[in-house]
Amino acid sequence: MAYEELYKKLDMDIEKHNQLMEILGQVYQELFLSRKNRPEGMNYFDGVIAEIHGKRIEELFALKEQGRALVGTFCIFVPEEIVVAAKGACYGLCGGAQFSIPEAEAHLPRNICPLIKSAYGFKLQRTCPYTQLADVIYGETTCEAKKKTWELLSQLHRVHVMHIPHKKETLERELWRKEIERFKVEIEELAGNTISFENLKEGIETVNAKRNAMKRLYDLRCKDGVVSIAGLDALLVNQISFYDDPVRFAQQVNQLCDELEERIEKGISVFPEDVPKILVSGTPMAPPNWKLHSIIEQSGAAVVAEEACIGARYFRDNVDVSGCETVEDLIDALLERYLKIDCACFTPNDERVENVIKMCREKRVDGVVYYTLSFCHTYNVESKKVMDRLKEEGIPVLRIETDYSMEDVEQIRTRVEAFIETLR
Amino acid sequence: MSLYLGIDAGSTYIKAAWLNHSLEIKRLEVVPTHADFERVVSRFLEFEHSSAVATGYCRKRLSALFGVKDISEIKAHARGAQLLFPGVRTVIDVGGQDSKVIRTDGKGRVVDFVMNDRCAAGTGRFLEIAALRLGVSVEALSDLASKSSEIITISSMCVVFAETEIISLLAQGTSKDAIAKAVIDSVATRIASMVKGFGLMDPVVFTGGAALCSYLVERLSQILGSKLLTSHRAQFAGAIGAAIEAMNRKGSS
Ligand code: SF4
Ligand code: SF4
Repeated sequence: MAYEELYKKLDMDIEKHNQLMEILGQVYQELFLSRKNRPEGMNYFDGVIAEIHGKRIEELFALKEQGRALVGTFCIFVPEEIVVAAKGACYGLCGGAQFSIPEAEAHLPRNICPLIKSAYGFKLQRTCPYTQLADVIYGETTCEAKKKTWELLSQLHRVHVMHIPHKKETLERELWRKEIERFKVEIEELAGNTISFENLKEGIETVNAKRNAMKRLYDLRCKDGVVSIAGLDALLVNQISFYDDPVRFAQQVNQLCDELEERIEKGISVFPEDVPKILVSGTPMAPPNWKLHSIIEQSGAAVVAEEACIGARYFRDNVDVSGCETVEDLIDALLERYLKIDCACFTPNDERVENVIKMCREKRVDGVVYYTLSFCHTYNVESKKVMDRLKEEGIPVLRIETDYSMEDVEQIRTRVEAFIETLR
Repeated sequence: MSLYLGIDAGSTYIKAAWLNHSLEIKRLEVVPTHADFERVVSRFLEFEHSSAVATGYCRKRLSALFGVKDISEIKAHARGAQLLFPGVRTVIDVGGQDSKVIRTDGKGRVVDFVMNDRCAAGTGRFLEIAALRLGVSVEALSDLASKSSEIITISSMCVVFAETEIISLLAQGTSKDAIAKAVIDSVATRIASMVKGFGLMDPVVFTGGAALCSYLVERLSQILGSKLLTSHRAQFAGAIGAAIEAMNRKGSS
């Protein structure tokens, strides 16, 4: 193995890690590489996955040696702009694999969401180089299971917890502003220098550009009746946005988008013309969680959008820096943008319901699959409101609750197929 | 005369139905799934038919083995129920592996549906395990239950715990009748809550293997306040629906 030296430095369990990579390789071959009619531009992203624990780790390790801050996160609430401003790297650590869950269940209850168990399990197993590399893991207080898990995780790794409010009123705004400031100070301490106005503005602009590229992809993946890219591929690009270098990533996404524009012009679609188009809404799908998308697309429908954090919620809103003159102004601008996040951990959260409807109209979908991980209470409970509203609008909706294991795939397939039959 | 074959390869039973072109049911068969799957299916396929369609939990296996086209059991049950009970609007299907509620448009087309989550509470599996514990068949479980006037409850929704509960009730000397009643009541409650959450629209048809459990149908009718329609052929609704699909496909190709 080419990277064994590096893994040793990161104190990883090399044998376990090999097992993990072998499974990942097989699954990736089956779900991605063997599919036909994929855009050429996906080659780059296939390469990223092939080197997900290789080249990218080398890059990050090099940054670490230069004394840059490496921050692992679990939530799109952590303002990555600040880390980018400090020339460090901020990346997602959410777990989407069954592989690490059995170990995690030795410490954590079985009845909490698999995303947390998977991520925590990676730390226990020492199989995730991103986790191992992180100077600090930034947890947040979005949901019960997460905030209590951080207490355990902090016994294994350096953890900071960001206080995310659950309402959006004056008091909470104040609190949230203080948290952003505190985050900035901590990153400055890690990086060993202060973040200037220029730095921060640049950091924000870098991340804005990345979000713009992703927004462009969202617009192009299904346009004028042409599904130019499979939902599974678009999901993958969204997932990779949390790991890759932001500047390079944006370039590659834009390049992919150029190709998709051509495809649309020529009418090159991944699916037959009358394919039912689906919006997936709900809990985020961390890599390698490709379960639902693959079932939907194998059953003859196309996923054309994700209303989720690994999806539109991440790139929908940008930070508006116009008129900003001081660091404080920029922090205000960050605050404004981050408060638009309509995560189910907020109450009330009616914006989300309206955003789902808006997306359905934008993408002209034939139906919605409401996806919730087992034991993710916030998205689970909120499903009723979202589904009621969809029904009011006459948009068909199917609710799927599942985890990362494969034992219920056939049952889900039955539902998804039946749902798609009703859309035809 | 050419016949259309529908095979419903469920998790516990394989059911087959043969229809003629005027949608008359010519033949019905049911065999446990654990019997030699391939042999059973090839025997079905040997019997005269001009086209066949599969449905049910094992439909993918069937289509991989024999190249038979398949449709989801939701669609199949809706179609089959419409043939058995024209004008039906709600289909409650309780099978071995899962249960579902289907809303149709009154012409056999699916409008909406829900299915239970992966646990076995509220499915035929629950009835089977209880019957096995009491040493009787599922039909006999129903007879036992209708004899009892005693009211006890089984509180565990989880089959594994419920089984333990049954064992301890037996150990305490509770009568089999009373236990059978409690088991069926528990399944009925579970299904009823699924139906209520989804919304009931008359007429309601009860299909699937659990239709053989007449006490369950009776209890469910009571709880839902609506007379559920069913018949001895209701367990074939999926197979019948698949046979109708076989005919439609033949006609259109
Ligand atoms: S769903 Fe909520 S808690 Fe999870 S990443 Fe998104 S914003 Fe954070
Ligand atoms: S998926 Fe739900 S339960 Fe899991 S970490 Fe996110 S918000 Fe919490």
